[in-house]
Amino acid sequence: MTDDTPFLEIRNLTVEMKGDAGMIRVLDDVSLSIRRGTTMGIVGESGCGKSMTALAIMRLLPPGFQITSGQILLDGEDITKASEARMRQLRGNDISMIFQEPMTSLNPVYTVGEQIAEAVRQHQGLDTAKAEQRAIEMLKAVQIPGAEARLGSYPHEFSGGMRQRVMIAMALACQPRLIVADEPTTALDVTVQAQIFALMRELQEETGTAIMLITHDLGAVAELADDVAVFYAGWRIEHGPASAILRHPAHPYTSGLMSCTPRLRLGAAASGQGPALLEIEGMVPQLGKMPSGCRFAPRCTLADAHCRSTVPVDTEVEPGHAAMCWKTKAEVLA
Amino acid sequence: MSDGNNILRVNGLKVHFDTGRAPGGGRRIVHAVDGVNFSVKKGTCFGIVGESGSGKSTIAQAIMRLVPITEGSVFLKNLQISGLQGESLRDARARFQMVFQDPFSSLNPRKKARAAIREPLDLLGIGDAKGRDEVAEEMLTAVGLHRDAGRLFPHQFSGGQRQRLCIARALASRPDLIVCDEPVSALDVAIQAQILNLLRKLQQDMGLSYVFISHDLAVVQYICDEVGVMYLGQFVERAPVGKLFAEAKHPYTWSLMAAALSPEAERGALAKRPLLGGEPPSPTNPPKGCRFAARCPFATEKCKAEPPALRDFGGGHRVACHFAGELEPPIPELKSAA
Repeated sequence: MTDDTPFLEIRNLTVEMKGDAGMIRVLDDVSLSIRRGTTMGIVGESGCGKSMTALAIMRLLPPGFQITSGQILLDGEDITKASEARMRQLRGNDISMIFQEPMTSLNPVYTVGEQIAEAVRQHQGLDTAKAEQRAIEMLKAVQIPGAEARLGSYPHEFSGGMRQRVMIAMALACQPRLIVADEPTTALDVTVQAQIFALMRELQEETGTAIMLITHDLGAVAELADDVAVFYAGWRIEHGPASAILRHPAHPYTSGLMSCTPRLRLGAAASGQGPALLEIEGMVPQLGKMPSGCRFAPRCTLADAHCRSTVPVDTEVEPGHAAMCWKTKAEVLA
Repeated sequence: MSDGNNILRVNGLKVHFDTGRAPGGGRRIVHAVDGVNFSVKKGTCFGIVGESGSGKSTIAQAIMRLVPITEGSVFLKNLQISGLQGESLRDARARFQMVFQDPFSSLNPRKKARAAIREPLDLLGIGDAKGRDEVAEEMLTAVGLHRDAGRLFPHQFSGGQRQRLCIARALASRPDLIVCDEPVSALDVAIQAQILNLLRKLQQDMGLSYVFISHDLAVVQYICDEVGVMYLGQFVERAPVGKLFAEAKHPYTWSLMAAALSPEAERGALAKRPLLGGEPPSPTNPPKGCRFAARCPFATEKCKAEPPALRDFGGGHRVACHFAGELEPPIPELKSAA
């Protein structure tokens, strides 16, 4: 179900926030595209703009934040200019979102069945009986045992993993063409995370939906993503096929993330002390206090005077794989 | 086990919570921790892994005397901390401290960093005012913060710096033992590496001993010397770290290993692994036989009827499974080691 035309294309998106002293950029000239039926992993530390990108796509930016330039093309339609009424049509129908915290994103006073049925009634105009039928189908699709009986259960009667399944059921109920999943398994146990990932892959193969997976876990990216975009301090600093980025990252920040992720060593590899974890010194610069030149330069071991003074350009290191760095060539050769 | 080198000894620890009347008469008892034994040698780190609800945090809270202990004992060196009350418990608290998961909610937003680090000293009456400030500054530098950072409020620090503050606070009373409950789970991976390396360095510099609770096997492997794998209130497997990851023998340990993600893995690798279905049963009515039997692919009638003992497999490796050592691990790396 994959093809090469992008279903979602973000062009030069800039999002700004009202600060005490004028506007502060939280996303700076970000471009990326997601093909139909594929998964794009968005990686980066907290505060780097991952979730802002998701909220911009949903047009759910918090008060004080606004898109100041750029386009978000959903199947060719620029939704930065869409009316609120049009957005309400798109949300749920064409794009839906899975949030990190399944406890706070379900309404505690309605049953799970009512919440899923509401989505399909609103968006697809099904009557009550048909909507309920659809809710049962969806709960079955996400493998909740005894779906008919669980329809009348309230969110608190479900475990964390089950609630996240309900969220996925709700997100899929209207067969959206794009799912934005913001850290969908961060709050879950590893065995449940594995179940949810297997489910997401299966559903993607069946429905051909595109997925934007926001995560800080490079292991999750390896498991699910076709393509990756790495974010740092509001910039998209590297993008390309997941296999290329995980095998030979071109940006020093991406390779830094790789080397500070602890690896499980099993069997023969488990004997003795493993390699020391490298650290990326320092921390992400504060919003509104961005260094001039490359924003990663203060933490980068390769940075020189040029890096500190001049904003790097996106440099292609191999077809489809580019990094925003003056040193990428040196890094790849090293 | 009677090694004089042990900082901490936990014997037959049980923590049960009474959650009210059961529908059919009787009480509803949550068996959060149900018979756990382990000891921590001086200068080492004992890891506890398991899923949420397995009781790993309850062990931490029981050691810290933050929840009532139903049965069993906890010794810090020769002091039985499980029996202490009132003043004597208070006096002993300087010797065991805790670092929590969330560095945002575990610091008082209205207290400056120096006051936060000093607080245990103030409360326990250690040293004089000037001495306490000096200790606070010393601890700030020990955890890699600037000594002047003591004048700032928690909101002026990032998440990683806040966790450093929490570690500095735990260190201030010069404890023998620090209990860390998921200390890096809320942090970004780059910051997580900084904190893990800091904990390691402090351990070497100060001879600290840790109980380290985590759900992340790779993190536990990185920092721990010995590991206990918990399921529904009990250890199913316990071994020195090298042995556990080379020769794990319990099907639950295997399933945790199978579910672990790796940046090097092929796309869709999870689908080829033996993944666990379902979720843990309720700790309110733990199953009679092996607690893992309902989810275990190898379970037999015997497993459902009889609880397995934690058997010794030599070299400190203990496994609670009737068929431990007879089963073929479904993880290729482990096969080659066996």
